[in-house]
Amino acid sequence: MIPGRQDGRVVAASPAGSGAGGESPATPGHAAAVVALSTMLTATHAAIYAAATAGGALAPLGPAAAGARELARLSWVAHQALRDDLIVAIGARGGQAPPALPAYRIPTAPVSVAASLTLLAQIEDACAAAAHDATAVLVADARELAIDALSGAAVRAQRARLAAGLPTATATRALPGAS
Amino acid sequence: MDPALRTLVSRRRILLGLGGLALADAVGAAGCTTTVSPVTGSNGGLGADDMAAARGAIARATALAAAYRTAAGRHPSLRSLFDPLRAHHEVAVSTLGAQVPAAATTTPPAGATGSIPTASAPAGVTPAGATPAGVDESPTALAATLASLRATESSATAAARADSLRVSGMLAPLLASLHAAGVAQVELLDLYTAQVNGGQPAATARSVG
Repeated sequence: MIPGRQDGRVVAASPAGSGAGGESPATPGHAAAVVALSTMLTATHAAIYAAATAGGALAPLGPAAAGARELARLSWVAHQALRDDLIVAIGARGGQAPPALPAYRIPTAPVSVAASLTLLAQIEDACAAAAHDATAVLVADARELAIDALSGAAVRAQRARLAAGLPTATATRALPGAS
Repeated sequence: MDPALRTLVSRRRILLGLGGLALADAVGAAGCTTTVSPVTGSNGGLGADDMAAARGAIARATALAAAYRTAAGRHPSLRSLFDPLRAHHEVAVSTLGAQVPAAATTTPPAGATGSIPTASAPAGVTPAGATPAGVDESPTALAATLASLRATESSATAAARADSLRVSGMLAPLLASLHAAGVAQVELLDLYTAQVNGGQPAATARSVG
């Protein structure tokens, strides 16, 4: 297998042979794939932070917050798995995966169950948007990763909105990630 | 440069690329509006696989919109579920048609029972053929309708996923989005089915997990 031979395809790159600092030679398509995957990873890092923040805020709220807390936990777990897959995919292209930041500015403070659910929906929508855009430049395994990330985010966002009591018309999306 | 690289760059993507938590613009992402960019004014920029996938997606969404319209007429108690999902499929049809006009003009109304639903049709209008006499709110009928819609949605969703892996980068985002919407809609139908089968009022289905 020749690394970089096909646009965006995941290749079995050897760490020792991939070049120092993730600067291995790459085709334009390869570089675009790394950028798209890194954008997804950046959103995923933030989602992990936000989901953990929501879960922590919900923890002391008792049984009334149990459902939302479970949604936060599921989101946190899903994004950790996606993060790991994205890091592998970026590394396989000789890219340097962007690290998580120490903290993130979140758009909604999870001061209540409703606010926490809003935050959870927001982070899923952001990740869906990144995955949606990434499918335009990814192919094969990497595109499959983005497609499944998009559907997972769409489902979790919908769950959060439904749990918040939103009606079907506003809890669902015609085109997740595309708005 | 791949045209998709140009057309799909958005404010959202730029914000995400800044390294911060670009979530603020998701706040207003509700409803059925979309800013998907047209990828072509004709079929000139698309290959045969792309055209076939676009035609297939339009046919599936058209059929599903018709199915939800019929279901809403038969089960008014679930109109709050069926009408939004019908609207979503109508958005899919119009978006696909805007991106690939050639596919829209040549797509037969597969499964549309002789009429193509339009996005301008009022949600509350009773479709032709769904007379009050056709209303059936029995749990058995509700469950059968939900099962039928679920099967159709699942099939369409699987097709969208397969096509999204096969098409060019110009169509992949839209088909991937249709797949994601379908997965979410199947889960919603499952939620209502569980409530109908459990003897609960389906129209109040809101909680999950």
